[in-house]
Amino acid sequence: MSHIANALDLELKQTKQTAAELARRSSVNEAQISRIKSGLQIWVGPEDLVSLANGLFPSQTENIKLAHARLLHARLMDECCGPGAKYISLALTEGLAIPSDKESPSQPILPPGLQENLDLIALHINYDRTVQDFVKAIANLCRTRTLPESRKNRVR
Amino acid sequence: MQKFSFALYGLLRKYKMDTLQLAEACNLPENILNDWRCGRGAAPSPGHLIKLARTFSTSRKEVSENHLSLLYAHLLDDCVGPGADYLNIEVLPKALPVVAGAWSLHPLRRMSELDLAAIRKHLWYDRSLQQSIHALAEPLKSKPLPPSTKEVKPE
Repeated sequence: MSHIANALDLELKQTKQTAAELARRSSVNEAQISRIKSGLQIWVGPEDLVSLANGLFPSQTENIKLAHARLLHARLMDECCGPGAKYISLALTEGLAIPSDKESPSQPILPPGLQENLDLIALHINYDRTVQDFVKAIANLCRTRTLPESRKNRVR
Repeated sequence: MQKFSFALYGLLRKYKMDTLQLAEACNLPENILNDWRCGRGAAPSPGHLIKLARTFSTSRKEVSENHLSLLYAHLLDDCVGPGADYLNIEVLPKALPVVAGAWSLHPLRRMSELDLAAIRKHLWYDRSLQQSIHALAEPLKSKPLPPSTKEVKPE
């Protein structure tokens, strides 16, 4: 069985839906859902994946995102095979407040010295666990803070 | 397809080949390779990735390195949609120099990327935060990065 087959099966069980009901709520047809569920079809297009998530949780934005994340994770796990796959880690970080960080498009311009230091940290962070942990701790502190009102207009 | 296009360019550069030579060697239509090279067309299948990785390789280690670089790029390109932010795709530390060598860029862990973005938002006005960053960066200036691709030995 493929990862996507197991994931879809689990989503259907948890939302107490059948393939036919999901087909009615999404734009993916029942035959295709059955093929995915039975493991006959492993590759699912990006639009179909979003459509399935929408069908599983109609009009529940947050649940749609989480369901899509689970299905996407399963599909990528199916694709992550071959000689180089063992060096890639693919993890679901459900529950972490990742999206809120990404939603903010504004990033301030930093003075050159500070930017260079930040770039240097970015270069080493993958290899150095201490740097990784330190940055994580500072970032968590930063996440609890709000930008001072008077400073918000400086961020672009 | 943008990152895959970059990885494919890295592969061609590594062996000093062009898309026509690659197409002939791996028996894939040149227009498909050109599309990928330009960041267009249908996504490559797992079979395509292995085929491309094997084409000019002379050892299993090379196949593994080429495949890793192509697969990582492909997974990043494929990770799109409303739930994509909940996924963390990263290359394990011991294989990072392989991808960095192939792409000429250091891939950044998604979680670390977000951590740095969170810090950056407050960094420009917070003096104590700036001092912490300077203190963290100072010892790194004299610290070399791990060795290049050739010295990494995937088993």
